[in-house]
Amino acid sequence: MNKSELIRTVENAQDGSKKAFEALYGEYYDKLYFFVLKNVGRKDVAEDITQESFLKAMEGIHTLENPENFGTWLHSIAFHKCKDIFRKEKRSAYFDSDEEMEAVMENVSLNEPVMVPEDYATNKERAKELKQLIDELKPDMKSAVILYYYDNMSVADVAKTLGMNENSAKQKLFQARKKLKAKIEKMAGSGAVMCAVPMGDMLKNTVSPKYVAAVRTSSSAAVTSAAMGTKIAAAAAAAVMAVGIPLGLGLMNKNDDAVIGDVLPDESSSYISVAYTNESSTPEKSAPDSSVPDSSISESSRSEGSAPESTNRIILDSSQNDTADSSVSVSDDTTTESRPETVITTQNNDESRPESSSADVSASQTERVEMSVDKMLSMDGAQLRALSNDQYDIVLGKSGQAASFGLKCAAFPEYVFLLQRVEGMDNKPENTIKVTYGDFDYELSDKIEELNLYEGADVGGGITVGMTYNEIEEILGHDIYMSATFSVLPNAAWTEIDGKYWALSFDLTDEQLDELQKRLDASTEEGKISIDDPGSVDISDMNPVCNLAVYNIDADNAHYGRLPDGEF
Amino acid sequence: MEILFNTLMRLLLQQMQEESALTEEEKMKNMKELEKILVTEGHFDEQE
Repeated sequence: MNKSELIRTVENAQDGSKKAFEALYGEYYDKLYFFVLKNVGRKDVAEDITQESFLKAMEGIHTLENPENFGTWLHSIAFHKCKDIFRKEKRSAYFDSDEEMEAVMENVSLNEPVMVPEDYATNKERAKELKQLIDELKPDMKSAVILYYYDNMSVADVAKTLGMNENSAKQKLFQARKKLKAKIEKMAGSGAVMCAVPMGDMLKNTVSPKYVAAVRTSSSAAVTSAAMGTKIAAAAAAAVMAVGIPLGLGLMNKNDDAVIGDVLPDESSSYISVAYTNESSTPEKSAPDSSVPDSSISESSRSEGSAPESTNRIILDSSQNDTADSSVSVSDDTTTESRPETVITTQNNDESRPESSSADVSASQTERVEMSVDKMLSMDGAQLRALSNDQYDIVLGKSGQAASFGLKCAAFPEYVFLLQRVEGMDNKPENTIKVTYGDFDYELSDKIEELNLYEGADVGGGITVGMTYNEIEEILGHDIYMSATFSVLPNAAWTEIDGKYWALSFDLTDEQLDELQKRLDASTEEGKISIDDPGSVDISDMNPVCNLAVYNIDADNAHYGRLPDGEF
Repeated sequence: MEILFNTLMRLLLQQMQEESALTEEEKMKNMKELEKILVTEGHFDEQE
């Protein structure tokens, strides 16, 4: 039920509609029962409290001034009933002692990465152990965890439900996270093992059947990299995909037709070819590969006697060729489409470095390098490529209207950086990267013009890509609003984060996109979005996941008034 | 392997919820019991 549906249903219930009561019961019963059961621990008591809570809520529903708060209100009724039980049973261990309530917020988020045992999704015993860690939390912490992570409540709503101030609620969540993380990572042990997690167990019950049908996996291979201790993106991809946020990094076999833990491109995928060049090399194009479905293809060939060229192919999903972005996200009961971006690693063109076959090189053989926005912006393309041992792929940029190209380095794949095209530069640099896309050739310099950050990347200010809309608002301490962007990204929330101006994009279903479009139009003066009036809309009721953060240097300069008028 | 804490919590909690959920029959029975009480108390519009 979205926010407007909830308001309507509650109002109908306030008017005495039995159907509305049944709808509210159906919407909230499972969540409420789970929340109560985890507090009181006994099925019969949990059933009684859930019934009493619904009854009390319905008896008092006419007093609810803000219908959108029904869920929070219902949970708070239930929580007080749980506390009555604790008082009767004299459970003094309900609250943490003052000593335990130290502020541990520091500068960490509630959603940073955590190491888990690699078989946590497939080994039932292991999964049981992990769940037990949550059960072992004290009730106030456990309640906060359930309300925040499972019911997707904001910290403010968690605080209201539990009858505490926001700071206390935040402390409970951070404390719970700290305890859980420590115990989980102890279970994971030291050293990382790369694995492509079999999708079945993880996808079951969390992703729509349509999405599951689109995923093909090869046999789950476990590859150890004991020396490096690196993490394979496919494992992270599997975890991310399990909650419906597709992320494409996988291993291509020599036939370029299989991936591990990733989604195969459909037949409408396009290809681009890339050649590295310095002034002495002149790459030649071969005839288009007739086996590739899309007509806008060119494949550079190796020319004898010149600097070795690499042939890099990037398989794009067809939506990336459209200005209208049709990305959708998976939620519990909506159908989804994935947005795969399957890449193969590139071949290094530097004669001083060892050659490797693009079919054999995998992201797993590149040591991970810690990256941050500030670090990335302090370097140029060549330095960043070197950090990744020249293991990278060319990808399309996600903003702007003209074609833009970036590098996705194996050592830090969440941090894609776009490079300025040479055309229009006063002094053409010596070393460039030539890209052929469709019918056109482009040359890229080493100058970074934009960052595209993906799932797991640290944007700064406590924000990580992968957080929800409401989490981001919570951390920023203010609302954020969606606007139309008139670029490859159809809409985004523009906001300052850590002194920089970012565009945040979110995973939305088709229905949500339609709804957003309607709201954007309605928010404009003319009733229709335009360049001058792109609209401004709050979508905290949808609470989608942020799947991309874009930082454009020119846009940043324009925002902070550092560009003369008319130059952006 | 490394995943986001948020992702892990959602996965685990969702599984825990599904494992402990009442059956549809049990839920329906409870709903009907509640409706009886609410009808007696006059909370519903008689025309519906």
